[in-house]
Amino acid sequence: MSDVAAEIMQIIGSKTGSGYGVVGLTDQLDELGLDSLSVVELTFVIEEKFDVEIPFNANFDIKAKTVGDLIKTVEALVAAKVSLT
Amino acid sequence: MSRVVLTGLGIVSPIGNSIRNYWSSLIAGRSGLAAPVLPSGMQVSTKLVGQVLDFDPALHVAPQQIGSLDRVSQFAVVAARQALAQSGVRLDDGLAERTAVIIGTGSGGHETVDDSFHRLYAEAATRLHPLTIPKAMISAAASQVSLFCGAKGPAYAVASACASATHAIGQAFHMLRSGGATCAICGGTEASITFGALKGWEAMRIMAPDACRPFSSARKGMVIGEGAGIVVLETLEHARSRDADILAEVAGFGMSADSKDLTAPDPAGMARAVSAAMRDGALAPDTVDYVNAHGTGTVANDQAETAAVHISFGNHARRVVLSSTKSMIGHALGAAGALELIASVMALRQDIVPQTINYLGPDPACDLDYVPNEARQMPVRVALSNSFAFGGLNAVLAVRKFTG
Repeated sequence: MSDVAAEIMQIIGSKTGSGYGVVGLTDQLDELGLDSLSVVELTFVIEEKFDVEIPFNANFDIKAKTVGDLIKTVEALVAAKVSLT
Repeated sequence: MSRVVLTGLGIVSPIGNSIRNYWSSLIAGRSGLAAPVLPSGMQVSTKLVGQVLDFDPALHVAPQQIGSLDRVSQFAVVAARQALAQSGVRLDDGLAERTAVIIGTGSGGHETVDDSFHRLYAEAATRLHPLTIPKAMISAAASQVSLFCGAKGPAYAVASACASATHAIGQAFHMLRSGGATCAICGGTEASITFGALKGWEAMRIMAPDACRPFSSARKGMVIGEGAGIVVLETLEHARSRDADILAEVAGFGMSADSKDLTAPDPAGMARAVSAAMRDGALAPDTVDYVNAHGTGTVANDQAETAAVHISFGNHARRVVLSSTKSMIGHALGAAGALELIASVMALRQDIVPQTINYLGPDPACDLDYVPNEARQMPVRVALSNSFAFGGLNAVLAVRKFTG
């Protein structure tokens, strides 16, 4: 697992209160017990952590998104940032 | 208890700064939403706002006074003067002291706050404009309206986010009904399309990138607006004594709190306010023909509001029509309830219901008649105006055609 993935799992684990290791890559964000505002807050924490901007609208971007999808998005944003520097 | 009537309407909006222009735009389906115009260098990702672009305060306020009014107060004063002019009320000595001013706003002098703090934090300024505080205070608009109009009765601001204007008008209605005042200048005003506020809204991730399409399939969120709506209320007795042109009767007002969640709407809480307004006015649900919906265009609001209408109206939910004028003017936050009450009063007067524009097709969770894309000519006896704020604060006004 990449560092980005590990950190995101940690952040999600602390947000859901389930702790590290319980959240899986195929878990859907809207089924982790997080309401839409919590997912918005989670996105903010991850953006601050990695200094990236995640395109995300709470009206239509939550459904069917998994933890793995989120990690892939952030990994791509981090990689794009590295290639720029 | 006194009956209470509306005798004056005033407006500043993205689709017109007179009642005539506002209403003709509404029923023609003209949108006032466009890309935000902000000072250079202030980058936002917001694609659409409902900004008041053709507003020149110098046309309305003397040069020596402009500096003492934030944009939010300028809007309120201009709308209040229009409403007073239409009503024909003269605030002479006797009436001035019996005239209340109750103005709702979500965030008060936001432009003053934003500009002042930018000067301090970004430009390292060492001093601020001497009127920074009295321009920014949330009650500034109420004070300015009382000053400019010469109203000397009860005056204060009401803040309940997106329900502020509706709470303000509702309180004025109850005050007049119970004898606390004879006349009221009331409504809401908002001017918070600033860099700081837009960044705050963007952070919530609920802004529509394409269009405001309330209740529609494929809706993608809300659009922030601004403006002011001010109305003149009078006791029926007073309006009759001066042979006033009565525009409509305020029939009922209901309030509730969800006590549930800071941002997620609760159909049960909304329905309590809708039902309370009908009860307050002794209105049977099947006498209501039109509901000007809160209808923000977010997925959550529109399905919750639809569920609330089912709860409050029962079988009549299938017959009452709803529309969201926010599809054209955006969400004017603390002014929204007043802009929308004015649309409801005009619907009563003209027997025309404004449409919900940008409607693409039904969402299974929104299964009512939303007057899609075309205004409708139909008899409107009673109309409701719904306002449901963040923090779960709900307020609903009922207006009735005045028939004597």
